[in-house]
Amino acid sequence: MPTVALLEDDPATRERLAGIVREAEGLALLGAFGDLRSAQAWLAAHDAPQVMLVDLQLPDGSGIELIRRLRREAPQTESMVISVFGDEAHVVAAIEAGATGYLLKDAGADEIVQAIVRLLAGESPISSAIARHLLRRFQPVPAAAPASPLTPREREVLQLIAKGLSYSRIAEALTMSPNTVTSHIKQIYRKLAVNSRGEAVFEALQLGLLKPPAG
Amino acid sequence: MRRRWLLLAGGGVALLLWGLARLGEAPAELLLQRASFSETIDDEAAREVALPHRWQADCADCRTVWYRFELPRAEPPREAQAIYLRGVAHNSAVYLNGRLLGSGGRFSDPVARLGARALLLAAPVPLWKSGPNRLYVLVKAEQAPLGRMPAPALGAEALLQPLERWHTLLAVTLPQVFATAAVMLGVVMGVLWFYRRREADYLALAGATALWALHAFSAMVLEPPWPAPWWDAWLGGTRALAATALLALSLRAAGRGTPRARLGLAAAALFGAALAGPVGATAVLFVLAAAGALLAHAGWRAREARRLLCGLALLLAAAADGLGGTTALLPLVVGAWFAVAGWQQLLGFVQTLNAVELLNIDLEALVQARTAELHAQFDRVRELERHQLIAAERERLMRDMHDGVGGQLVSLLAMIEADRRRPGELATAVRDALDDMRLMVDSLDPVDDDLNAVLAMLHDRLAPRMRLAGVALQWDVALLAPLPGLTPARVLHVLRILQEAVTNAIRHGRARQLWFSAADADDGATLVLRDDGSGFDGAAQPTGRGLKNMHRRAAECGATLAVHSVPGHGTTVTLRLPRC
Repeated sequence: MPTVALLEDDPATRERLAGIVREAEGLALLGAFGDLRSAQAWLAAHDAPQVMLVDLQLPDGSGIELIRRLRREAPQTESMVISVFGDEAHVVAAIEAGATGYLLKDAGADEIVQAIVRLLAGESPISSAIARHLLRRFQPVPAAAPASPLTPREREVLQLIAKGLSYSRIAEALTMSPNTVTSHIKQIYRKLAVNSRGEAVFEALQLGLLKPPAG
Repeated sequence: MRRRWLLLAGGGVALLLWGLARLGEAPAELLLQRASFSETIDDEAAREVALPHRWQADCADCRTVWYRFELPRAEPPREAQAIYLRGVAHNSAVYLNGRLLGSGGRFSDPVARLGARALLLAAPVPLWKSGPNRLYVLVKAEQAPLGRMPAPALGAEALLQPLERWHTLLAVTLPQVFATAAVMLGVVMGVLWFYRRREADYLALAGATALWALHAFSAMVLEPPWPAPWWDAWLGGTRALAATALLALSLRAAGRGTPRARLGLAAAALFGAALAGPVGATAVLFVLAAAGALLAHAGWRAREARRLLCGLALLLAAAADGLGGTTALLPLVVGAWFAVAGWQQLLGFVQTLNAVELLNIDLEALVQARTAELHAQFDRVRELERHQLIAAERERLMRDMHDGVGGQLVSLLAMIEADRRRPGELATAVRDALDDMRLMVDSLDPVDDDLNAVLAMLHDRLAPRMRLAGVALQWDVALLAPLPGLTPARVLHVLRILQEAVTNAIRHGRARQLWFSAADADDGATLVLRDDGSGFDGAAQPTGRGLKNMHRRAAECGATLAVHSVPGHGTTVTLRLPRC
């Protein structure tokens, strides 16, 4: 049975999300944590879950640290950002740290369970705003700059997502199967995490999601 | 400058001139002041005359005359002797005991003119005898009235030679030096004028200087190259012109009279100065004296040393020469005058250049200061604009919050306080509030005039809600042309209108199916939302707050909104969005 753990500092939201996962058929909740320290401590002592739901703003640090650690130590774990707005500033920083999906905090129970199941099936959710942001970020710069890590195909997919086309319409337009579209998106996420680790740290610092290392 | 200093300086100039005039003068005890004068050598009719002597009265038609000096000696002199003659008109030859000691130059016509030159002739010891010695001086003048014989000095050559050197320096060398300097400055002035035609001062000075130099160099010529009348006319003409030019310059420098009056005065002066003979010579003296007086007076009034001293020197030199000093001071002083005037003009030019340069530096500094000021001002304006933008944005967000999230939170509070325990309603209210906030956040995302991006954001927000409510959504959006003017404010209005329409369809119309389409229109884009809900009476006035808000927002973003509804047949909302 797929295992899920949860890191969210707001007790009410944590309880709600925990309840939804616990009651979902086919999902097992391994733990729900309120701060970064306890989540880290638990991970040090236990096997990593298959899915980790992570809030970014925590009382003792940023959830990005946990996402990055999982990416390093437990690459098979899928991390999902829990966000109020699903805005690109939060989500993209998390994706660059290694997250492969995001959840809105007020999403309905069915939606949440479905998002987790889809993530495990290899699908990564992406919004048009995030697609636009990624396009801007990986804009091919004339000369001298390192080539964009995205393939032309991946750019096309992102462009159509930014325009608001559904996966099936995209698949139709690019003559590929809807599964290929989702795998493209997953691939884009992976590239982001690999390509911009240093940049992501910088960006996270800029956004105030990370505190600069002491000393 | 104080008048006291001016007086002192003037006194200094007078003293200097007096001293200069005296420098080449022989001691009185060496002068031979009497001679016997005759028309031919050893003439019976010879008679005693006092020297200096103008012989016109004694021999009206003589051009050549003889002066004889009896110099008895007990024994020959021990050291070499010399005869020193200054101011002979025009040429002379000196004989001692029948031996020629020397002469000034040519005796045939046109006769040589010693002019300002002094004649120092050695009378060596062997020529002297014990007992009577005879000294003859032959003098030839161009015309009898001009003939003049000064008192010769006889003494030790060693004593007289330095005097002769001083005299030559003052009467010959220095005037030549000044004339040369004046010519060079005149050339410079001429060149300056050539490049600055409007500066008539340069031309006037260059012309006057040229005239003066012509005269000065001509007057130095010992043996006239042309027949005497022509040569005299030439000398007199250049002298008159130079003196007149000098007067004109002085008038100008003194700032007296109108240009016309100056011209008239100069013409009168020229007329007088150009007269031949002694009258013309005297007129020239008066012209120069007048010029000097004018300048000196102007300098005195303006308390300015330069003009005062130049004028005074001119005035005094003219007076001294008029009174018949042995050394003519005017050639020296006028030469110096021109040199000073030229130098002054050149200095003025250089000072103007310097001033322009300084002005340039000042201007540059000024421009830099202005630039910095402009930058600062620009920064201030930009800062102000930024503040205004922030203020406007804040106002916009506040108004939106008031209409949306604020109201929803208030009603939420009311529900909680009433404790009506309707969890479904509470959840809906909270979700509405969150949706409102998300639309606001979305509206701030830069979309670069891409309406597709705006609609995509809306779809991202709507789709989960529709799924939750079990409502089907048919989304039919073409790839749209860019729509210029999609500001955050406009984007938010569009998002809110469509959100409100969807909410109305689901909540009030109980719709199960929604159709949304967007397509380019002639002047922008047309967005249509259709539902299969219950509809309402379209003819009735829109009373709901939702509909009113939709119309207000459409008006604010320059769009037209049409709501068409028939009870039982759903509602169609059409939003036409023009380009801005």
